[in-house]
Amino acid sequence: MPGMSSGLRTNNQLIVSAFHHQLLNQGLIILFVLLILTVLWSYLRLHFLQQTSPSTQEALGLHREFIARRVLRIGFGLLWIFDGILQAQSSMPLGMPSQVLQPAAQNSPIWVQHLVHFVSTIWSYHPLLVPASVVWIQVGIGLWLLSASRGIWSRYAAITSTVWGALVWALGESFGGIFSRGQSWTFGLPGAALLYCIAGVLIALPENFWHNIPLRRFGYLLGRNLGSAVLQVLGLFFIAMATLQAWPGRGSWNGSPHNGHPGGPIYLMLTQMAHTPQPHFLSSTLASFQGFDANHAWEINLFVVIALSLIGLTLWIQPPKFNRPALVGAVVLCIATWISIQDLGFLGGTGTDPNSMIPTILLLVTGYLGISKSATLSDTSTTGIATATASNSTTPDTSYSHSSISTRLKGRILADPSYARRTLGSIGALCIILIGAVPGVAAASNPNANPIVAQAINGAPQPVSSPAPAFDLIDQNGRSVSLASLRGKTIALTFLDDVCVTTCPLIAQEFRLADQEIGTLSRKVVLIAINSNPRFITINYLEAFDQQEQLTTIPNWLFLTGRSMKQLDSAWKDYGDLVQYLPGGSMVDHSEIADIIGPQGRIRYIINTDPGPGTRVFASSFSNQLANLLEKVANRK
Amino acid sequence: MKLAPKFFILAIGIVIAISFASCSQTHKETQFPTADSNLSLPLSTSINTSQGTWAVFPMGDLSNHFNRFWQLFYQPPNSSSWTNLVKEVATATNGGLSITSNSTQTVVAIRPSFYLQFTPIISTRDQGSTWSNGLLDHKLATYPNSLALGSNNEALAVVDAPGGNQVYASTRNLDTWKFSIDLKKLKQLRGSRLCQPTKITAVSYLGDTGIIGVDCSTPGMFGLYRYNGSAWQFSGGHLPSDLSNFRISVVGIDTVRSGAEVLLDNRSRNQVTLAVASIESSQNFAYSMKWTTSHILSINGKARLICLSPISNGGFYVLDSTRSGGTTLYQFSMPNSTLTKGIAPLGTWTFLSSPPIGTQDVVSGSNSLPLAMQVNKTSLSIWSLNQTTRKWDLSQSSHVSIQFGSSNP
Repeated sequence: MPGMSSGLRTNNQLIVSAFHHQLLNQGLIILFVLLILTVLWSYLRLHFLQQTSPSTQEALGLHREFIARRVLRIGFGLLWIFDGILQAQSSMPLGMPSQVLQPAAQNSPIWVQHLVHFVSTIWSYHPLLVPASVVWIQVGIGLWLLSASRGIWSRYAAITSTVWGALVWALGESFGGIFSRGQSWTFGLPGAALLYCIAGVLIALPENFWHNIPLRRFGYLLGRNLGSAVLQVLGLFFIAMATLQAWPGRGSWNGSPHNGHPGGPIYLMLTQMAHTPQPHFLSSTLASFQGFDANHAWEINLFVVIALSLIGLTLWIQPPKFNRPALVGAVVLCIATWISIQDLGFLGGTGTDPNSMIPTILLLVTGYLGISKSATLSDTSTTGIATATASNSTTPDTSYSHSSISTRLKGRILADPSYARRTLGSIGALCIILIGAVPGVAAASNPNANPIVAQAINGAPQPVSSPAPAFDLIDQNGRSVSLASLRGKTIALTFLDDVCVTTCPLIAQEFRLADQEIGTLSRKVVLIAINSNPRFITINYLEAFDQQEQLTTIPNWLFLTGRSMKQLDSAWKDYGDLVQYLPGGSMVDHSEIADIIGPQGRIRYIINTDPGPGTRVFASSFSNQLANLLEKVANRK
Repeated sequence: MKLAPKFFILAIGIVIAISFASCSQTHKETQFPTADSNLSLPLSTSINTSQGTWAVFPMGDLSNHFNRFWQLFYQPPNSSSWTNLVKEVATATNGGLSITSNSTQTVVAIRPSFYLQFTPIISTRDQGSTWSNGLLDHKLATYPNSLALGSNNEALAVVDAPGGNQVYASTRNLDTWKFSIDLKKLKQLRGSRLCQPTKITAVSYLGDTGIIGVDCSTPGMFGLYRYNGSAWQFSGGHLPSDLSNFRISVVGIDTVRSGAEVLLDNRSRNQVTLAVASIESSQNFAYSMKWTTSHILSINGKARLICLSPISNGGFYVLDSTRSGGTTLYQFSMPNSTLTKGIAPLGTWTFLSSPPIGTQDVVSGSNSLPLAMQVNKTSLSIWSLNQTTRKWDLSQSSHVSIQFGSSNP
């Protein structure tokens, strides 16, 4: 069956509005939770926090968060929220697999493609709950990073950010393309989400690392504090990227295609991006840069290679006089690349994040602040840390170890008033993450696709209540089957062409899947297909079709045909199946509908069985819909 | 002193980057032959019977598998007009049609395509007035001669199977088929080591004797097997010195008068070489018998073979298409006193006037002159070769209303 996406257009109104409805429902629950937390916060402020004076904090020696860490935490917190908002775009439920996940994995090794295929399948099967969960998880992580400025909550937030970032990097970005051919720094290598992971790790590390890395050997190799280490790693990364950019076989020196030479990757990327809808100012910028690149690709690449190399070397060596120029140069290069090549990352097509340049800039700035501020703060901060360490040694946490929880909590809040704010903020953020993640995980564990996909293609089942027309036909084994002989059974009856090359085999598979889904109820259900081909009406064709579609092992499957064309023709007319020869070279045309007939012989529903794009997602969704209807009709008293 | 380890790490970083760069260079994608490439065998063909002439060829959008349909055309005896029997086929024909006949009936098999895995069969004994069904519950292989009908209405079919293709035989009504032999068993037969068969490529009948054609991996040999009533026997032959280095496929077997002609094929990237081996005895030919081999026809490897049609009185038409879209038609024919044993090459390849661009099939007409079936999407133009002017004259035009996209899943 072709493709793992649903095959629907990304702007399908039914799915998009259901997705937004889902977000709204979850949003209302989140608002309610936040309201409760606000009330709790007011209560705490009223009863506890007013009792503490600002001097208490100073007496406890609680130092302020180091500037570099704060920039990193707030920056990536905002990025996560922004990414979450982007995930709420209308195109996400249906566009993510086909426009984001699969293209990212296109040139990757087969094992990466399998991994991405797995995620695409889950996403396509559950286009409401899974995308909604991603929205809330990312918004929740962002808010958690913003609200928990320090302490254990902040580190938990950073660890969560790292873990989620790693998942996004591996499954959503196909490892940032590091295993695929032709990737480069200008296109986003090594993947924005990996930078989110690195930022998460840096935030999760103990704060004194920003002043002095206690691991001597590690510090000896990578600088004396985190800021210095970050810049050195970035420097090494820039040099590696310069090497990749300069490598002759990768085509980075080529512009537009000419004389049999393929176009350069930047030119080709810009050509591809020209086809995605985007604001005029961006498209005109891209068009003019593409024109420039067509003729000056060699010079552009030379500039990028030199710039990356110089910046990389400076960041690695960190000569004091050149740190700031290197930072400015790197930021300018990143912004230029972000605008002229990366398309701002989110405005063209189905963007999920602003790509790699903004996270890179954040890391650069963090590193720079790390080396420039740590020296000036070293004296005070060291004192602060020392004091904090001293105070921690007499912290109420240990002295209250035998006290009640409320007493301990009271003591903790009195010792550090912002702890209450951080705790409540973290609880709120965790609630947002869980409200999104729990339904998403539950949906993802269901192997059957949401019936809404089938409804989006074929429309909703049509409820009816009319007597089912009688028929008298023979099954694939040559036995007589009439409607009267099936009284007491719930029937799903459709029409299939036994030599059909396209849709009928797909419909047969949908019926087979539905039978699996209803489980033991299948004893009360009969699945019937009436042959719709006027030439190939003999039972050996029915047998061959059943064999081909692996229907021979389903005991309640009946493929019916007539002893004569007259019998068949009568069944077609009674059930409104329009069978006709098509003009030239194609299949016999027939209606693609199914009747759900109740145990009393009345038609309860008519559904459209057109398998549309013929994807597995649709098949699973349709079978889920069919199974639901069969259960509903069979269990009706 | 402190800088040394830094530069050491820097050097390692560069080495890693270089390794990464060299590993992740854009490699040229391997080109595999597709169904439409010059290496595939053409399925367009025709047969002349006492009850009329039948032809199968594709129409519609020839570059798109979803919109390309094969049509079954029929010309009654003593009539100049052709009719399209699409209604009789009653299913999508994107996979192609295969036709075969004997003196009493004509059989058409619809090659499976897309999700259809078995082969519907229809047959007629009254010039297409009434049709009955057969069924081959396997996938008919995509070779020009993958279906054959014997004089006593027995049939052979080459089918695709997971472990290599196989031959199935039907003894009645074309709806009951039994496994006959597969490549593995063919290889074990006495004499097979001379040929070392790699693929079963054709089936045929000489009278009521079943024949199997194969690919030989031994250069200078062509592989045939005949059914002696109880078992298959190797009956291939040696090729003359000009073909002794070629690995040969049997791509067509045709009964002619009292003998048989076997169309042989060798392919390389640069050249397609065709030759015809012939023998006079239709009943008991065996390996020891001498085969007569024709001159060879060399075609540019970049050309695409469009059809290999047998000629009613012996010989073959071979139509190929050049890269520029033009077509070239060759005719292989024997002198009248042919099919006698001989050592020297016998039979000649003649270059005929190029048929109109878009010709999809060449049919042996009633006056032994070729007819060119020219297709332009849904339009069919039939051209006949004028014997005196050697130019092609339009003899019939028709339009087939094909539903584009009707087989698109």
